[in-house]
Amino acid sequence: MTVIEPFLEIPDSLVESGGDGLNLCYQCGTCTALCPWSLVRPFNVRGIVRSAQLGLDVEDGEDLWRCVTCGTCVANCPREVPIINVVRSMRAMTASSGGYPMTIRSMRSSQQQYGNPWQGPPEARNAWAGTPGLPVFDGSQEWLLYVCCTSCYDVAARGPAQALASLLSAAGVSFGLAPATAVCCGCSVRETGDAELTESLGRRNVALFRELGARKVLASSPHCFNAFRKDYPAWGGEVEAAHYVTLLDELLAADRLRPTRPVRRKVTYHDPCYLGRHNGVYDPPRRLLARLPEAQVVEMPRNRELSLCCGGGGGGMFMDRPKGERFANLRLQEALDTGADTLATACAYCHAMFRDAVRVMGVEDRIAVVDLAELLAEAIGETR
Amino acid sequence: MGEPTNAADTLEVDAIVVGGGITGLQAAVDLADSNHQVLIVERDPSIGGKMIALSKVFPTLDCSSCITTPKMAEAAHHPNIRILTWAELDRVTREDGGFRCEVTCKPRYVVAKECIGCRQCEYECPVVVPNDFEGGQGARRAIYIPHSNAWPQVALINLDDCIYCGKCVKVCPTQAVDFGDVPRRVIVRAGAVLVASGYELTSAWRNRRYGAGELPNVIGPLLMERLIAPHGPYGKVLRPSDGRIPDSIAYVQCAGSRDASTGYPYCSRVCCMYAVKQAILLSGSLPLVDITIYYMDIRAFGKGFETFYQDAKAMGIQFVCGKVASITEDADHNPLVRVERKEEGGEITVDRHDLVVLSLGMEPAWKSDGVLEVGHDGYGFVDLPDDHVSPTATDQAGVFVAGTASAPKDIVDSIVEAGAAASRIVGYLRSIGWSVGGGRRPAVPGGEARVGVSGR
Repeated sequence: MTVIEPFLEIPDSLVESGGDGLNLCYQCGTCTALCPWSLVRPFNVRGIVRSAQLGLDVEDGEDLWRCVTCGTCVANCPREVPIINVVRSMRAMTASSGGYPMTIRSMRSSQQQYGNPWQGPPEARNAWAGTPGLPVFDGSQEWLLYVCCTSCYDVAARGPAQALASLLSAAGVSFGLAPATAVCCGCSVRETGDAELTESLGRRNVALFRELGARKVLASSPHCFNAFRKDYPAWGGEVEAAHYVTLLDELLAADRLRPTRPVRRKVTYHDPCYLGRHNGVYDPPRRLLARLPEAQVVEMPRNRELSLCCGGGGGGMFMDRPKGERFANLRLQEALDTGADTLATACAYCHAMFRDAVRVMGVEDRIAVVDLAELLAEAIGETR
Repeated sequence: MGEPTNAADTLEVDAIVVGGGITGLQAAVDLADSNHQVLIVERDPSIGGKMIALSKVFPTLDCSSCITTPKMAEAAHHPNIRILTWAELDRVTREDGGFRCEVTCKPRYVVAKECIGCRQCEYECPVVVPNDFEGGQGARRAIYIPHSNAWPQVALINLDDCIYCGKCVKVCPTQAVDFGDVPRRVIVRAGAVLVASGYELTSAWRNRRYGAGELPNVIGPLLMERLIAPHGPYGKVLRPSDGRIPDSIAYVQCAGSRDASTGYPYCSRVCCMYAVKQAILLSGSLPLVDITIYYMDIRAFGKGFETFYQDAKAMGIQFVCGKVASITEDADHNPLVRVERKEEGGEITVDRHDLVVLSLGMEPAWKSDGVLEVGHDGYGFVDLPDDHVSPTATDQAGVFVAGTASAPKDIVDSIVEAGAAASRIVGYLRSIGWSVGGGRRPAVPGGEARVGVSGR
């Protein structure tokens, strides 16, 4: 028999650092069986929570970095255990002794140096808008449009942000871009356990928003939206945050956008975790799709609160996964199985993960990955 | 004096019992045996509640209807008990030291005192619809007697189903069919109110993890009771999608109980034992069937329960530890159960079964909101402010509760509470000096009022 000496301070410190609710867990296993990892390899969420309760190390250290914070476990937990908080706290404890995976380290150093995860020069933040570009927010506009760093610096995917800006212009929405001094919302460092760096990034944005007199912030990504809405208030961020799809939904309802051009596609919509499960936005994207003339919309069997994560959350965007362990490939297959020729989403991470999956699976001729804003822009036509 | 519906528009009684299930019947009989005048108000067209539909009871495997029918008859024929079936309690207010209760008797479209229960109308009726008493399996007609053990044995017509062909009118030997029937209001004055309104199964079956109610071979436990019951819809266990006899049946424990994500964080107390009971009964009726019970822990807490559970294990019923995460189905409507097998190395398995029973928990069948002023908890169960010493007393003087209206519980506990509540009501009525027996007793048809005579 082995005698295991638990570190009893671990559960206490987990509870202190946001993992409270840990002890509510009664070890039923719902989380393990619902976790998307169970589709590709053994990954025992229940075991991680049990280790945390007992103050033991997670058996396989890699496991701790697998969680994509998709929230499937949390949404279905019979005891409402904040499992993501537990994982995040355990990551923080591991990280404090230098235990970050290599790719996360480089993402973090980029955050520290450039204020974004992609080593993008801050002055190039709004390069996606082209020249002469779009007006920067100066306090006179209604909305500050905050485009996710991933969209800003991904030269291969400027479409979604450009489409969104053109739609806002077409609808006559008063908006200005976040200036080059804006930094990452902080989601990727938050989910990988660095509360300190998250807060320092967050406070920089809060100060910037205040300085500019921004009251309403429109996020292009659900991750940024989530941070503005849930994290920033604690740091004095009093902005009203919205994800762009809810604004587009309102503009459509108010007849400020009139989709008239046919969009001859068969579309299936992928619910991003941080828009759906984390923030409960399920209907606006579907209402938007229903307004596309001639588009055929089909649902994947896993939809809404049962949506399968693309694998990009929780730091997954910055990690290398073996081909057989990529959720995006599974999800793309589900989209293909519906017969859709278009996979629509509303998140920069999902967009990037699925574009990779299309290439890896060699299905470029069968399905296109597009953002909801791009689809709506197709139906509105060029207006800018 | 058990006329099913009553000609009187006003009644005076000692106690009104809300609900004619096993709890309400037991309490009413206990009160009536103490020479109190009791009115039972039952929402369904028959008394008997949920228990009359069960096959057998745990852990003794006694026949459920063999226990319920004598109790129904005892109440129905008791000189001190009146029963209004197919009636809704609309409003209860305090008046002159007691309560004023407004009751609506819903139209049966059959004159109760003329109907002789011969069922000629049922045989003639050309409309066939799913039988709700049989959990939607089997069939009934548009005009029907609720079930073979129903009391009263009086037909009623569901106008939504009726095609107005008039065949029932022609065939009825007593001209009892009356399409001009209208709701009738009855005002009841009572000294005390007993809430014995019982339970319904929770709606956790609507959860998308369990197939959102769209998987035909994922059923609830009350339907399984009917499938097992000797007088059930088919006389054998057949699965809904194709009528095949299942070779593999699974029970999903805590489907909606102890699960905050479904809105029901509480334990429903009976599901472990009814699943074990059904598994044992199924082993008898389908000797070759494989039965798997997926569970978190088996709560076998009552007298004889643990032995019952151990017997089930010894009979070869498989118990798999792990809470079922999701249920889907294959192309042949065979349910696929996804679970982490906690005691088998945490392996995730997807097991195919022919039929899955969701062990659904209990929620209150009746919400007192706007009808009766009485405290209840966030789930609608009647609150017991002092439940350690007064398990049947509510926060309102004169209003008592028994059975599953206050919390999930089994039949035995419900019957015990019924007796306890009756005893409390006797004391309460004495304390306020309320008695309609003393000169204000309603007339007893067929004889004089028999003061001090218990039973018949």
